[in-house]
Amino acid sequence: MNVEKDINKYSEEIIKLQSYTKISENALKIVPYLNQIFNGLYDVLNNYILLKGYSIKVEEIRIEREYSLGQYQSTINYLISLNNLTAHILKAISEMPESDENKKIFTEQFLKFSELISQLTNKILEKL
Amino acid sequence: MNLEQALKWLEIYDQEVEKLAKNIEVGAKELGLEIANFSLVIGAGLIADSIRKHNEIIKRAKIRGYITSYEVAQLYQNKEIMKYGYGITLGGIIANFLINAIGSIISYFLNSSKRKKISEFISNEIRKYDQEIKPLLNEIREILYNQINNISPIVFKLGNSSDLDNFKNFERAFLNLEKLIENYLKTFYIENIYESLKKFNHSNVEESLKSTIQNLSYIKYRFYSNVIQEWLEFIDNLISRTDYQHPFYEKGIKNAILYILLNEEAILPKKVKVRSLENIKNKMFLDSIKDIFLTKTISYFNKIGYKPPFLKKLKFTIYSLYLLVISIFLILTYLLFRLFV
Repeated sequence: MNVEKDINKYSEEIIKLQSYTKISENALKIVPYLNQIFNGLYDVLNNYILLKGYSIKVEEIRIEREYSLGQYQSTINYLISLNNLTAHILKAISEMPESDENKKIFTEQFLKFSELISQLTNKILEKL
Repeated sequence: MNLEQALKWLEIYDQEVEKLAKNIEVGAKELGLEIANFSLVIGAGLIADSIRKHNEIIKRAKIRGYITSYEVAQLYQNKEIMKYGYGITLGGIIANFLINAIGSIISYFLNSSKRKKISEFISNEIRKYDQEIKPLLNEIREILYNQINNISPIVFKLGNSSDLDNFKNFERAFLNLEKLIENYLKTFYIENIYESLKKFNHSNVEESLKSTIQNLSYIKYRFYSNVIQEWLEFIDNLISRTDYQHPFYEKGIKNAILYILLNEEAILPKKVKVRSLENIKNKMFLDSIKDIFLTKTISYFNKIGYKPPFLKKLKFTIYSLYLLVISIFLILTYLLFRLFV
């Protein structure tokens, strides 16, 4: 009876050991799978961060365009005044006789303001 | 950032989000498959092991003629392990489907939020154009139109003067006129971009964005073509009005043409990458602009008897290339002759 008891006890122990071996074998099989899973999760997280970056950039562009539009509104009034000024200078040039020495100075002034207008419009148009 | 750059950025955003959404979808699919594989290996292993043990115990008991209580307990334990095996296998398959579905849902939401963002951006731009930018452009166009009309007679007048200061102003006025004309045409160019945005189909964002970007290069080339045409008309006008024998004239016109030529060379793209029918159309259009401009410029140079140094270089390069091709052809013919005859 004792022998049978011992045999049962030992076989129980053997089964236990066998199950431990099985578990460790299975655990070894899990490692590459876990590695793949973590790599996949890392990729997903990385892509998500990149995506957030792009969304923020789109929002930034929208805000920047809104902001610059507000600035153009004030510049346009300045441009209108410059345009009126050049019209007056041109009128004065046309009324001057050819021999008038001031004609050259007025022409230069006209060119200066006209250049300023083209520079300003260029700046606005570049941003539109 | 201007509208053209913003649209190009939106195109990058569209492509990147699509790529990332696809990555997430494919990644989730692979992750699901990995989990399913893993659970299948573990589950099938447990099931196979318990079946083998079950058969062994039954076989032993049959030989012996009776079954011990310990073996009964083992059979019961095996049955339980088998249940776990089935559970793990089934769980893995269900997890695979779930992860797949989650990946597809995330990808769908990412794409739809991207479409919404692009669509909102474009609607916002159209609204801004109608309310603020269109009146602003009209205002700028009117100012530039006035300036061009005012400065043109001054350019002609200064070009005909024999005074040195006047000649300096002629060059200055000429260059300023170039910028004014370019800016004037640019207002139409910007207007055209906004008008093309109005045709944007919000129910098919990706395709519409693609066709808008493609249309953008066509609008751009048309703009450059207009700039060049305006300039050629202006030079024609200048040549017909100015005296050829004038001491400053030759230098002035030469400088002006060279300035425009160099400027346009810097603006116009060297090559258009041909990837679609639309690109071919753009390339042909661009080539025709360049051809017209180059032929006209050379004819102007001939008219005033000027030979620019780069044309000499170009001629030399063309001749040397011809010579190289002919020599290669002759060598090849000789080699083929030696080989076969």
